[in-house]
Amino acid sequence: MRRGTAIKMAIFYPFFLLISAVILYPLVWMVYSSFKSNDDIFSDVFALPQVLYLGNYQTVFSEGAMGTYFKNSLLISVVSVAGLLAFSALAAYAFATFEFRAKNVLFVVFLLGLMVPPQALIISGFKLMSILRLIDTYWALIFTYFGWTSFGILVLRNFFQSVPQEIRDAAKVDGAGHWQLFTRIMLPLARPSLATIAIFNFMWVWNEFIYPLVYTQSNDKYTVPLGVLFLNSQYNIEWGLQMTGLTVATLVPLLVYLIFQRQFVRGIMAGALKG
Amino acid sequence: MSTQVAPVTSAGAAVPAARLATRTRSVPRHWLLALPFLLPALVFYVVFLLVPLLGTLALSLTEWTGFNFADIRFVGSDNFRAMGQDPVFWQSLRHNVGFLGGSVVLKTVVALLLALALDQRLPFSNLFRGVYLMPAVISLVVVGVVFTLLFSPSLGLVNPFLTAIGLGRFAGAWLGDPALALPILIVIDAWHGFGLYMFLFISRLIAIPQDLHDAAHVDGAGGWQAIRDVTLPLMKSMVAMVVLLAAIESLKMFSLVYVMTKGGPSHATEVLSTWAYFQAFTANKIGYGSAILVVLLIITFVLAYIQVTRFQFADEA
Repeated sequence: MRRGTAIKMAIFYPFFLLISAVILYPLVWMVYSSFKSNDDIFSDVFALPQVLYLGNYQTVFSEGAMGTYFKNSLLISVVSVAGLLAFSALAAYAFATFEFRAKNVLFVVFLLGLMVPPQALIISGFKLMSILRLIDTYWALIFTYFGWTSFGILVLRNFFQSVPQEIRDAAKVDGAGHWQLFTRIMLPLARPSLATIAIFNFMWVWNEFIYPLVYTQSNDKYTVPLGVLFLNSQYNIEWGLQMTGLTVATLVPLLVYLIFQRQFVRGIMAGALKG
Repeated sequence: MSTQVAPVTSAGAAVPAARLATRTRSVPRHWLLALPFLLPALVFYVVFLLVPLLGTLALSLTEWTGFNFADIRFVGSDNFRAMGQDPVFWQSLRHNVGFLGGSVVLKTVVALLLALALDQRLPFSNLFRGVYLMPAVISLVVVGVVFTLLFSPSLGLVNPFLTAIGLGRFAGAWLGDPALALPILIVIDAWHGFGLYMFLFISRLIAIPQDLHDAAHVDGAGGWQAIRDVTLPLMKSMVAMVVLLAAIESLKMFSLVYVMTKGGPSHATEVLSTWAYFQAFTANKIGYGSAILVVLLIITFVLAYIQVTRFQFADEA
């Protein structure tokens, strides 16, 4: 090892480790506290669990409705992401392929969606959902998320435009129409971009809090973030149960992040800092 | 949000991106060809984003309890004038500004310093940067509850920890203390979000050609000097962009406040979005709540406009 590297390591590593500790400790504390009984937590909040207590997990899923929240979140996230992926790919193809009047204006209108903060829409959104009789349904959330195609359109339009004209022309010569060109050639080529958009939007939909807060009312429609908050008030003084809810809620986004880190990072680079 | 950062084409490395699209020649009936492709995205975008957006603007000019459509009254700019008599509105606005300043400075500085340090390519750098991004994928609700428990004065970790290391006299009420609650929220928000900006800086650092570093090395500039003279000047536009992104992001502050303090103690952490939420859903003042959101929207769009016009054609690399 070069001497310069060793000196740099001596300078930087303490900082890296300190910041890692600041990042990780609250999360690690949350996870190991979920394996302690309430009495154990309150006799010593720092201590690691002496025995692996699983009672919290049983209670959260049986007495609490964690399983239901989980199912709701999964259903809503998967349907929403599948839909917005399909819709944004279709629209991006149109923007990249066709010339039509007011195309640039329409594109800018779509980009507007990247800037609108969700909380600016909740009051009128609530009224709209009441008129449509969608309050307290999955559809209120799914349709709302279907509207967040801006990021996907931006990323995929750039990609489709970068596909060499020769490839498209070759397909045309073979007699392929736009639908074949789109499904057989463009979509397979765009797989990495599609993965990026899917991962990024999945995280965002899974963690979204303000829309479920406003659009759902009954406990059996809650998504995970909302459910966690509900558990939090239900088990006000039972920290073991709260910690368990929090741990379970963190599991999915964390796993998705660990598995698809590359796609997630690519999403950040694509400039989609929303959420 | 930002076309310019996007090395998105690299996502599709399968295709040589060198040749950018030569536009298809305009052919009549292209609207008809494009429409089926555009329609699904357009329908949901218009109905569930544009309509509520215009709805917020329209409702801000009305007085309405929200129960019965027959009761909506057009009141012009009354709601906006009422803000003058609402001290909590101004308090909230100040807190938004504080949030903006605090989180922009914290996130930008921490993210930039860490990006520069990680760019030294020491062993395990990738592991560290992976860890630093972790909070960003966790729901703000979870973050809020965990830190609420951590700062809980009677049972949490912070006070016993301070006592244990002999700093017991600094133990406090934390989130219950009006002077401390807002700064604590700002720090937690930075804890959650700095990783995203760190990665933007890293992406810019990676794009700096190696020969520039080599040239600096030949000129005898090493370590810190090379960073100051070579790296930092090239980071200027990215720093400016991160500042604007973080500023826009800070205006979205809602979940943390809602979960941790509900705007309290005595409005010490109230921000425009939580105050609008209270007005609309607790006080049943739909019009006034919407007007507060319009103020939030205007600030957001001014910042976004600066961002887009300043950076749309910014030279990268």
